[in-house]
Amino acid sequence: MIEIKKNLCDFCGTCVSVCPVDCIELFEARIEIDNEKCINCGLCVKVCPLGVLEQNDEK
Amino acid sequence: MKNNWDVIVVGGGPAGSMAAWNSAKGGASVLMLEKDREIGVPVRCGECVDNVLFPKSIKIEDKWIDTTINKIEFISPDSSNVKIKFKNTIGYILDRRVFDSDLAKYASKAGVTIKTKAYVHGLLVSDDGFVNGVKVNILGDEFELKSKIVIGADGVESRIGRMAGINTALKMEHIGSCVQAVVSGIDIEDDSIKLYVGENYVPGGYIWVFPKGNYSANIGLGILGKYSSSGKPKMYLEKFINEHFPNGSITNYVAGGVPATNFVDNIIENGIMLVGDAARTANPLTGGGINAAMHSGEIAGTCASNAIKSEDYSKKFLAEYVKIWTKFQKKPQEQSYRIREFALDLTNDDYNHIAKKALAISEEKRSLTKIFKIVIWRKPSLIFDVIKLFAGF
Repeated sequence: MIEIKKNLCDFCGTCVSVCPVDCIELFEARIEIDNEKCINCGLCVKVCPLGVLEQNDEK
Repeated sequence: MKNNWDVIVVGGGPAGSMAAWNSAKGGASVLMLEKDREIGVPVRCGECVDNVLFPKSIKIEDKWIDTTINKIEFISPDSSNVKIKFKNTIGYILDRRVFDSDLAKYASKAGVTIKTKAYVHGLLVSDDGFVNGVKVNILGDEFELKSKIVIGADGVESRIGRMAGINTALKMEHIGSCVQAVVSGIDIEDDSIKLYVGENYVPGGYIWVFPKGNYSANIGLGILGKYSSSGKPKMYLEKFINEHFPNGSITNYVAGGVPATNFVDNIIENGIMLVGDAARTANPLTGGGINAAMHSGEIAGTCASNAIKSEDYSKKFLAEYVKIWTKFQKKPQEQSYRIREFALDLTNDDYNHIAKKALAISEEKRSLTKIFKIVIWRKPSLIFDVIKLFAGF
């Protein structure tokens, strides 16, 4: 699953734009990942400009 | 608040405001919903705009302009500075905070109702598959608002399109992962933009320095997703600012994603249209997106008001938007995309070679055309695109 370092996030939406299963929800100053829908592909981690997201092996 | 509208626009950036404004001009009742608390903030943009391509329907106001640009400097990996001076103004660095806010105010004056802190989390869909409204949370309260047409102007995320079944997910070669700092207390020329190219500055992208006036500048960079990794843009920008502007103060810092795709025409469905970054309208070479976003919004807004008059909200009717947009944007965007793909293959040695040859031309005689010639000599495969660029087909 993907973990969010919430205090680092700038809420820019770059992760949302590449998510193939549309499981990231972005509010004005809040981001949530739906772990039920997440396929742990890691694209959001790779594309995050600030390094806010971390991928764990376990789903 | 009314719960029935002709047009609901999701997103209050330049594309959204232009779409809303032009829908209202054509007589439609329009609601524009912005998820953040204030239109124009935060500014996730280098704020550079070409003055020639700016929509003719709007007169650029002085208060939108921070600086007026008539020079471009390319800085190569070996720090050679190739400056090109233009006789006329080539663009502006805008104050997007004021600009976006004013566009929304124009729309409002034309009759558009605007709500901020309005988060759209779902679409309403009729039995026959037409999008006919939105599920929205406005200042903490839930609403289901009906519409005849929804316009998705929700930026790079483009979730409104996905909710309507349009696959807007970007591939890793089609997203620019960007960061930008406003750096203050630095001594820079206010009429010149600087572009740092080469993989020692940033691999798979470039660094921009855009003057904002008052001894400050937007300094940012973008890396294509396929060349990036977690936090890489932040790391490279920090290194650049430390090396080039060690005494500058960072007074603003933002992250952002820029769509960098080839031309996309899959931007409508029954009862819905996408505009701006949501429709992937940005220039895939430069990442600039303000003008194209505004044009797409203008065209879509006009089409929406025509659809309302004709009482036809079908994909077939809305195809008029795609048709006009394609005529306007397809060739230039495809060309930028091809040059982008070509530029990604240039090495530090290529850039240094091109800079050396360009500097051999006196500053008075140096032009973009002459630099293109040098690039073609170095990389003949580009010649087809350059011929097309100057022949205009």
